[in-house]
This record gives sequence, C-alpha cells and structure tokens, in this order.
Amino acid sequence: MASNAIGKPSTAEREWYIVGRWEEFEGEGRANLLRLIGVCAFYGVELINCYGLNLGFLQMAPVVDRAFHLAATMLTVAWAMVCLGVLVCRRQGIFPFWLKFISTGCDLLLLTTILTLADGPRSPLVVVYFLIILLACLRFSLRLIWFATAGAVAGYLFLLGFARWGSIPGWEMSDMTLPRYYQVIFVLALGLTGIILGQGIRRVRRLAESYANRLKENRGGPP
Amino acid sequence: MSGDKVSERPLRGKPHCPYCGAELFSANPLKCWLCHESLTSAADTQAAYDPGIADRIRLPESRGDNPAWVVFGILALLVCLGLMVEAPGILIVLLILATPALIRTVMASSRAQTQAAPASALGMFFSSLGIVAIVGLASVAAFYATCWVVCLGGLALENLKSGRGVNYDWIMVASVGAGLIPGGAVAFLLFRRLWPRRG
Repeated sequence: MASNAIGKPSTAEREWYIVGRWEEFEGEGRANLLRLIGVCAFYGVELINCYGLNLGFLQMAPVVDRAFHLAATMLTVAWAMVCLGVLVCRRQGIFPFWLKFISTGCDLLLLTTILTLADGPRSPLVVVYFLIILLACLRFSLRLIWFATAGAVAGYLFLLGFARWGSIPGWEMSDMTLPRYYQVIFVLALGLTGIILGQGIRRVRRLAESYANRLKENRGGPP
Repeated sequence: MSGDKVSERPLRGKPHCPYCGAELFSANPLKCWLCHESLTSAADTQAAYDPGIADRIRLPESRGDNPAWVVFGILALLVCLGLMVEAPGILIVLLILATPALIRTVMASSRAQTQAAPASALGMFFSSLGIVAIVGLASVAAFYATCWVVCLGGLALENLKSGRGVNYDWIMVASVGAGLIPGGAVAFLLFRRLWPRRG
C-alpha cells in the first residue's frame, strides 16, 4: 500500500483498503455459499453414482463401491465443517486476512484427497480445481489467486505422481496414468486461468479510479 | 431467521467502527476487526455513526435469511440419505432433526395467515433443518468430549484401587451426567443465537 510522506496511508489508500476489506468480507461469504452449494451438488452426483438413477430419459448405472462411498461421505462432512467454520468466523467478526488462504487451502486439500481416492487425474472431478481458482477471484486478492493457482497445480502434480507411483494398502485402484500431452495441457490451463483472473483483479483498481475521476469531472457540469 | 448480521447496514444502537462502519462485538476493542484501525478510546466506539459512510463505501444491504443454512439443511438430508443403507438408524436421527424444523415451518406458515409460497416454506424448512443439524452436531461433540474425559478420569481412579473392590458402574452415570451439562448448554446457547424467534 502506498504511503504519504509521514508514513501513514493517504486518505484515498485508506478508503480503498476499507472498501477492499468490505468486498473481501462479502466475497468470502459468497464464496462460502457457492462452496457449500458445490459440495452439495457434487455429493448428490456421488449418491446417484452409488445408488443409480433411472428416469427413463436419464439413466445412470451405479459405478461407485461401498468403500469409496463412505470415504466420500466423510470427506463431504469434513468439507461442510470447513464451510461452517467460515460461516461462524464471519458471524463473529473473526476475519483475519489469512482466513481466505485457510479456506482455499482446505478446498485444495480436500479435493486432492477425494481425487486420490477416486480415479486420480483421470477423474472428471479435476475440473473443480478451476472452480477453486475462480472462487478465489471473489475475494479480490491477487495473492489469493496466486496461492490458489499454485495450490491447484501442486495438487494436480501430486495426483500425477500418485497415479504413477502411489498406492493405498487395501484399496483397489485402476490405472490412473495419463498421456504426457494431456498433463501438460491441464497444467497450462490451470496456470493461464490464474494469470487471466489476476489480470482482471489488477484492472479493478484502475476501473474504480477512472469511474471516480469521471464522476469528479462531470460534477457541476450540465446534466 | 437471523441473517448475516455483520454484513447488514449498522444499527444506530450498537457500537460500530467510526472508520468503516463495521459492527463491533466487544465493548472496548483495541482495534476494528474489519479495517484494523486502532480504537484507542471508548469514545471511538461510541462515536456517532455517520450514515453517509454506508453510502460512501457501499455497505451491503441485509439479505434477510442466510441461504447458507438452507444448503446446510439440504446437505444434512443428503448425508442421511447417503448413509441410510449402511446405517438405517440414521433415519431416526433425521426424524429427530426434522421434527423441530417441521414444527417451525408449520407454525410460521399458519401465523402468516396468508397462503405462503411453497418455495419459501421449503426454504424455511431446510434452513431450520440446517440449524438443527449444526446445533445437534455441536451438542454431541460437547457431550462426547466431556463424557470421554470424565470416563477416562473415572477409569484412572478405579485403577488406583488395584483390584480392591473395583466398581465401574458409577463411571457410566458420572460421565454421561457430566456430558449432558455442556451438551445441553451448547444446544441452549446455539439455539438462542441461531434459531429465529419469528418465522
């Protein structure tokens, strides 16, 4: 943050900081709600995968075994607890700057855990890494976008390594390896998503300043 | 239902940060939890709230019911459905959770006199279910934490007797009895805080 001559932030900087904190606060709430909706929706799909669905026009055969279903249920409950923690923090006015890093880190950790138990990098659930990066955008923090992007890439690389060398004792696993070009494309897409969102965040300040300047110039002019 | 109170526009009767307008939760905070501005004197927090600050920094409008509770309710229902094959007893838990939610929904609907929209009644039911599930979870956690500690202490005490008239019966009574106190207290406090007084 820029400072004036005596080391104290200027009024404009201070106002910008306050506005940013309110937007961060609101963004955390929206991100938490969307996270909860996402957990709910994906768990619903998991239930259908477990029990099957036949609506005539839409048929989904059961493809998930009991062990994975129980593990996914427990991880879903854990994810719901993360959401509850964020909700309680917001309601109680506990809102340190690192709360968003904690919640995003939990998202990345839980997603990577589920993917490790599922089909690894072959699972269609890997697209949730993109959703986590997009959620970070709601908090208007460039550092959070970097963190989410780096975390998503690290999580994906972990999955690739696990698919190649890892195993869980007593856990039946199919071949999860992917062709190299597929891996490179996915990692590049994750990185570019973070870069594009970061550019959007960088332009927000300029947008606000331009808007304020135009308002100031037009004040007192003809309607 | 209680909304997300800190995101509402400040009320005049409550202490607020004079710099950002955030509601303050303690009587004499050292600094604001939102903008981190230091509030050195009590006069800072008692300062007259400037209504213009809300427009200047555009504090979000109150959105009433917190939709997160609705999603929590749906998720609780889904988890119960997901576990019902493995543990059919969870349907009893679901029945216990759903009863107060249903009562609240029916009472609120009848109090409204007019025909409430089915979507709002469903939303109210799920939000109540979410609150009951969370309160139940917290109460059970408080109960087991206390119960476990008292039980462990009781077993240690009995082990000191080293076989002379060892009696484990009282441990069950003491640990369950002790667990009920914090469990009940947590349930009471959370219901008081979260459960809406009006439909």
